[in-house]
Amino acid sequence: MLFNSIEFAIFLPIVFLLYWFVTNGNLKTQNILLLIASYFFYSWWDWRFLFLLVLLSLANYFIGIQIEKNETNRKGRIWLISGLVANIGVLVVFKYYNFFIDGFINLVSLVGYELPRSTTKIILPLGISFYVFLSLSYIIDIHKKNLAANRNIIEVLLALSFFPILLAGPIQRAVSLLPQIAKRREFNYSQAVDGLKQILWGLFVKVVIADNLAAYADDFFLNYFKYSGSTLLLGALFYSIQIYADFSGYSEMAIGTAKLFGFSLMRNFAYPYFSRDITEFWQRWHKSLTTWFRDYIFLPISFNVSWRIKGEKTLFIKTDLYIYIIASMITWFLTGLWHGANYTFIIWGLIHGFFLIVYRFQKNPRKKLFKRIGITNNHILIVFFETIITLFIVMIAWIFFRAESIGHAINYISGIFSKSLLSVPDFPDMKRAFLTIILVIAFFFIEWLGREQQYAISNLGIKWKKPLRYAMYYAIIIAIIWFGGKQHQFIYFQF
Amino acid sequence: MKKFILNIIIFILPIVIFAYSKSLYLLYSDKYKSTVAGSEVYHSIIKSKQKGKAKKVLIGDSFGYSLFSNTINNDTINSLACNRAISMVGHFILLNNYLNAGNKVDTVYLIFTPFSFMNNLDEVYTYHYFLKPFYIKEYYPLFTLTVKNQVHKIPCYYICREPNILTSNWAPNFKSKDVKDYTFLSPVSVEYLAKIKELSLINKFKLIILPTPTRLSNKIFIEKINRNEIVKTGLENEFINYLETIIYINDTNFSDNVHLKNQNMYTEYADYYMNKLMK
Repeated sequence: MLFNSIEFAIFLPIVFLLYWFVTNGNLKTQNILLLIASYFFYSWWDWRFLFLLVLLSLANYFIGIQIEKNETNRKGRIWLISGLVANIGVLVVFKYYNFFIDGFINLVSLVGYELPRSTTKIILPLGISFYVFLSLSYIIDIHKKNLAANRNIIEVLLALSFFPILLAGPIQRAVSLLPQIAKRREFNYSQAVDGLKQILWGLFVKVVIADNLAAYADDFFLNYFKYSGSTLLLGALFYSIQIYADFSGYSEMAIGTAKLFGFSLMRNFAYPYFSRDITEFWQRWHKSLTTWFRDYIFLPISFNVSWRIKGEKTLFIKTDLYIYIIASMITWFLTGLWHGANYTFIIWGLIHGFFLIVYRFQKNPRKKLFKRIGITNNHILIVFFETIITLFIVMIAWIFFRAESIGHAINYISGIFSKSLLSVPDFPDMKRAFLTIILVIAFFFIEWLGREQQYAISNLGIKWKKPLRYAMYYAIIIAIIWFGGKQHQFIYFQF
Repeated sequence: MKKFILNIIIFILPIVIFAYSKSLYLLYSDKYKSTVAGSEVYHSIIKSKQKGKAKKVLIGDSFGYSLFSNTINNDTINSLACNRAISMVGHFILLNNYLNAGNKVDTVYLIFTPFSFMNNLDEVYTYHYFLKPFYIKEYYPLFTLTVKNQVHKIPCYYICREPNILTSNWAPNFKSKDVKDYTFLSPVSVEYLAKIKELSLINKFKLIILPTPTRLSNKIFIEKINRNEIVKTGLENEFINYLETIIYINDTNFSDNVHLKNQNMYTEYADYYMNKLMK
C-alpha cells in the first residue's frame, strides 16, 4: 500500500478512528490493533511475505530473551551470532542471492568454465532491508545492555513491523521505539495536527516535486545518447532533486502518520542540499541509516582497528586518519551494498567514502589557508562555493546510483562533459518542464524558510492570521491535485 | 478528539468539492484523455473514428507503438498501435471503428510481441487501459460472454467510469486467480483474432501478423508453444509465418521483458518493418 494511494487514504482514517475510539485508551488493545493494521498493510502488497516478517520477528523476540538470559556466559554470544546470521542470512538470500550467483558465474567464466545461468529469480520482499536493520539493532542493543529484552510478544512484534516505518523507514532503534510502544498513549490534539501537516508536506514533495521530475529524469537516463551535455547535466540535477523529494517526502509521511497514533519517530532528513560539505550532507541525509551504520559498523570497526594498531603513524599517515580510512571505506562499501545488489550502488558508496576522507584530509590545511589569506570560514562566497561543490559531488555520485550499470553511468557522465555542455538544454515538453522548475524553486524556497524546523512547513505561517494560514494549506492541496505527476513507486521501496 | 474530527471534516469538505470539480472539468473538456497514463489508447480511439487516406492499417502493442507511433499521420500507413493492455478486444474495436468510419482498407498489420497474445483481460493494467476507455455502452454489443465474465472478475469494474476514477490513474490492486492452461493465445485472443479474421473476409483486406524482436532467453518458451491453440483462430498460415520469422536478440538490449533499451534500435527496426510493410 503506497502512502500516496487511495487505498491508504481509506486505510488510515479507519485505523485512526478504531485506535482512538474503540480501544478506549487501553494499551494492550491499542498495540494489538496496530499490529493487525501493520500486518494488513504489509500483506496488501503480497500476503505470502508476511510469513517471513512474522517468523523473523518471532525469532528475534526469542533470541533477544536468550541473549539477556545468557549475558554472563558464552551462550549469550552464540545467541547473538545466531541472531546476526538469521537476520543477515535472510537479507543475503532474498536481496543478494541473484547478485552473488551471477557474480560467481561471471568469475568462473573468466577461467573458461561456462556454468548454466539459473532462470530462478528471487523476489525481493518489500521493506526487507529496513525491518532487518531494525531487528538487528534490537538484538545488538540487548547484547550491549542498552535495552532490556522485552517479554511482551505483541510489543516486540509491533516494534519490528510498525506500519508507518515498515516499508522504507526511517529505521528506528528498538531502544527508542519499544518504550513508546510500552507506554499508554493518549490523544494529543496538537501532535495530531502536526502529524497531518507533516503528511501534507510529504505528499506535496512526493507527488508534485518527485513525480513530476521523475518523468524527465527517466527519459534522460534511458535516452542519454540523444541529449546534449547541458541537458544531461540538468537530468542529473533533476534526479538528485527527485530522489531527495521522493525519499524525504516518504519519510515525512511516515513520521506524520506515526504522530497520529501518538508516536515520535527519529527524523530522517534535515535539508541535505543546503550542506556545505560532504560530512554535513551525511549528517542531514537519511539520518536513520547513517547513524545506524555509524553505531553498528563504523565505530565497532574503528575501535577494533585502533586496538590492533600501535604507534602514532602507520605508513606515513597519522594512525587516527588511517583508522578513519579503513573504517570509512568498509562502512561505505556496505552502505552502497545495502542499497542494492548492483555494482553501481557499491561505486556510489565508495565515492562518498572517498570524498569523506578527502574532506577530512583538507580540513586543517584549509583552515590554515583561510587564516593566512584573511578570509572567514563563514564568508557568503565561501558558503555558496562549498555548497555548490558538495551538490556537484553528490549529483555525480547519484548518476551511479541511478544508472543500470557502471558502463551506463560512465557513458552518461561522458555525455555531460562533451562539447555540448555549454549549449542550451533541449528536450521534449520543455513547457511543462518550465512549470516543474518553478515548482522546484518554490519548494526549495519553502525549505530554506523552514530550514531550522523539523520539516519545512512545521512553523510556517504559525503567526499568520487563521484564514491566511488555511489559504496556504489549501494552496498546497490544490497544487497536489492540480500539478501532481503520474504516480511512481517510492524509489526506496526497492531497497 | 471530537473537535479534531469535526475540524478535519470541515477542512476536507472544500477539498472534496474541488477534487470532484476538477474531475468533472477534465471529463467534460475531454482533457483527461491526454493527462492520464496511457493517453496513447485514447489517441488511437479518436484516430480510429476518423476518415483516413491510408489503406494500410497497423494495430499493435507498445513495441508496435514505439516503431510506428499513432501520433504520426501518414497517408500510406495509419498506425492505431498503442499497447498490449487493451487486449485483442481493444485492437478489434479499433479496427472495427476504423472500418465503420467508412475507410477502405487493403491490408491490416498486427505487430505483436509473442507474449502479448497471452492477455486474457486478467492483468494488472486491464482496469486502467481496457475498462476505462473501452467498457462503455457503445461497445457492449461487441463483447463476447468470455469478455463479460473476465471483466466481472475485476474488482470495482462497475465504477470504472466514475469521473474521479476515469480521470485519474487509479486502478484496484488486482491479481487474477485464473489458471492459465494456454501457452500462447488466451481465450480472449482466440475469440477476437477470429473476429478480426471475419472482418478481413467481409471487408476483403489482407491480415498480416508480424512479430517483434524478442529476447533470446524467451526462445525456449516460444519453442514450447502449443500450436493447436492457433488452429482455433483460423489463422494458421498467418501464425506459422509469424513464429518462423521472430528475430531473437541478446537480452542485454532490453530494458524489460519486451522493450528495447536503446531508442536508436527502434529507429533501425522501424526501417526494417517499413520495408516489410511496403512490399
